[in-house]
Amino acid sequence: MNVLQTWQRWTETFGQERHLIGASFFRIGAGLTLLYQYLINYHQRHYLYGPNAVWPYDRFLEKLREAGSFSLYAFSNHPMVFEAIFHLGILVTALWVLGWRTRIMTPLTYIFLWSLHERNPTLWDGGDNVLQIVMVYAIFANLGAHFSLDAERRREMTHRRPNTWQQIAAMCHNGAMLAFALQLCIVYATAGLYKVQGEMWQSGTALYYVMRVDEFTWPGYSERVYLNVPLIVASSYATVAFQVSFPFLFFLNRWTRRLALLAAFGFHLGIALFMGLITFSAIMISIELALVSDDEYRSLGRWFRDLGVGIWRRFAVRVVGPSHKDLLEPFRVQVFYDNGCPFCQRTLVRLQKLDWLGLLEPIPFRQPGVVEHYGLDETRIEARIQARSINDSEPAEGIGAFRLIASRLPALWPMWPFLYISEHLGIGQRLYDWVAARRQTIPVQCTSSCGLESAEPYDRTSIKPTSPELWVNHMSVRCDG
Amino acid sequence: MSIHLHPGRKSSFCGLTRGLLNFFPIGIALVLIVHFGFTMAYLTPLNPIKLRVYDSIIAYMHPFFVQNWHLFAPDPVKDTRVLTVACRLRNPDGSTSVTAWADISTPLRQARYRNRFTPADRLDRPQSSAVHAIFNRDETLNTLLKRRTEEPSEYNTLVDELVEIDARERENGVLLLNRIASAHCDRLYGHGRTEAVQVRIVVLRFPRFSQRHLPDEAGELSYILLDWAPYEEVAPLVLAEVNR
Repeated sequence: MNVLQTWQRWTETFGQERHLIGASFFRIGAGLTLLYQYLINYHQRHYLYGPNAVWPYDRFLEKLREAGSFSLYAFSNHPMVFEAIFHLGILVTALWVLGWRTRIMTPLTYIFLWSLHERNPTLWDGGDNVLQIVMVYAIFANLGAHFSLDAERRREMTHRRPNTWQQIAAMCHNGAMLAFALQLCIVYATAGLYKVQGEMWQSGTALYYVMRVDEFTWPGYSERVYLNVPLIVASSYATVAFQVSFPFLFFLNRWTRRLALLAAFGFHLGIALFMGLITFSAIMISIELALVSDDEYRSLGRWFRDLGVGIWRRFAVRVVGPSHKDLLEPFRVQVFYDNGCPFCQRTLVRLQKLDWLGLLEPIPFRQPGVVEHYGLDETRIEARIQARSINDSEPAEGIGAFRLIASRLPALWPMWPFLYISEHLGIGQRLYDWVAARRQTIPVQCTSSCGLESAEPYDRTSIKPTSPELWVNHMSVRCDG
Repeated sequence: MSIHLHPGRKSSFCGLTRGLLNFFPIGIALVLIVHFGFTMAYLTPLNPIKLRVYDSIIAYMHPFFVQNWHLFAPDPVKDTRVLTVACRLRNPDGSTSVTAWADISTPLRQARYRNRFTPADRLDRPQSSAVHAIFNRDETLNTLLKRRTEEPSEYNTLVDELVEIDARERENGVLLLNRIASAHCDRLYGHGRTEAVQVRIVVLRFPRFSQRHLPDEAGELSYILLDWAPYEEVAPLVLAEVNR
């Protein structure tokens, strides 16, 4: 084979998108972190970012001019304009997380993120710095291939052999992923090399000071670490060693790359826990998640699923006995959903796939007898999904129902804080109502009318077949009406 | 309308696209090399080559790729700094009174200790940033200043520019602290009563590593007093965790 043929084969390989799962995890992780930043200080938004914020508006404009930068908040200092831009930023970021029109939402999210950072530059740390840089690379990447509304839409399209422009887009995506890796290596290498010059890092005592200052301490826990000499010295040296060696470990071979990424995850989880730098760690972990390959994710997924099922079966059957299902009974949640709505049905299918502990009991409310049997309010159930813990009498509805569901699905536990915050701010329920009002409602097995009384009687035992594949087919009901 | 390509033209069109595909990876590689070349040059310490192309590096990297990865390096933060504010209040009878020093940092940090997911976390940051801007000269700038000579040179011109930027950052830090103090005076004593504010930075040099078993009280306290500054109108600071 000659050089040209080898090059063409390599070009074809480079023209296939890689790290698509990781790129989507980056979108979700970084996006949720951005939403958290918007929402956690929602009630202080005027103090931090408004026209009369603590960082004065005139200095803000002056710095923009000096730096040749831009910010949407410079458009006007009118309070209503500020509110519009701030809330639009939340909406754009939420749509980015959901993976709706990701190719457009990624640059828009970056514009709003950059604007917010410029409005008050005193608030941001290293994680925000690296995010605003990698978001430029992310504009060229495909962040919506998985766990997104874009992926759902593409599933319905016929698959064709990629054309030239799609291959070029794939090359840009792979280039962006490589840029992610190079930027991360530069961050760690630079930070590590600066640390090497510091006397406290050289003597292994630096982390004692970091963990003791009021700003970064965790009373009751930090003392157990910084009073332990071997632990504090080892941790200080390990920090420097990890950062300096990261670029070499990452590019040497796949085993050292995995080791480097595992060390990075542990490093940032420790920072989140002990120093309280939650958003910094979340952003760094999101970027690191993009650097795990698709094959590695699939292998991990299979390994965890097999491990989980194996442990559960061994534990439940041998230790607890036949009554293992009673252990989880108090945590079961009944989910009353609209079985006349394809969007709602597809949502329930996805939630069922994540229901590793078998705690969800989906109940279609349009089946005759359901509303009366469970004492549901017809008007309310039409408007919002409801979920009720088995021991509660009052159901949660809308965003509250999703919060309750998320608390039962381990894969969605990281989303629980955001659902809780958005629910208590009132934004979550409004957003839910906006989406719910636009869901398509189609009749299910209707003959003359589409009211509840004309559908088949509800049978609890008919809902959940034994295998996931049958469950998916069962949920994809054909609507005759 | 459909386009019918002459077979010869079709094959040349396909050849063009094939050519584009073959050379596009080279284009991507060049972009990455140039971009990360600039990034590495931006992050390396000053050296003779960087001095010559400094303006080009800054023109490329600023503002969208600005980055600083010192991250607790070369030395980590090693003292606890607490902000206290005093407010000169206007009394109904026209007289003024000065309040006692109020600690505006500890309540925010205690809220963080109770709950890592608290709005108080980001509210403490402008305070820390302002103190850092005023009192922490970049170690790199200190090193550069040591090598500054009296004879005019490109090096001296660059160092003088950096010193000027540093001075402006300190001025911004003082302004920020005064605005923070104004907002806290409104929160503590009611909106519209404050005429002037004064900030005092309390620095606790807690026991060093060799005396790590001693409590914070065994450390050294020092105070840095800023001048009285006029009250500035700032959006109200609303925080339930602090206003208990």
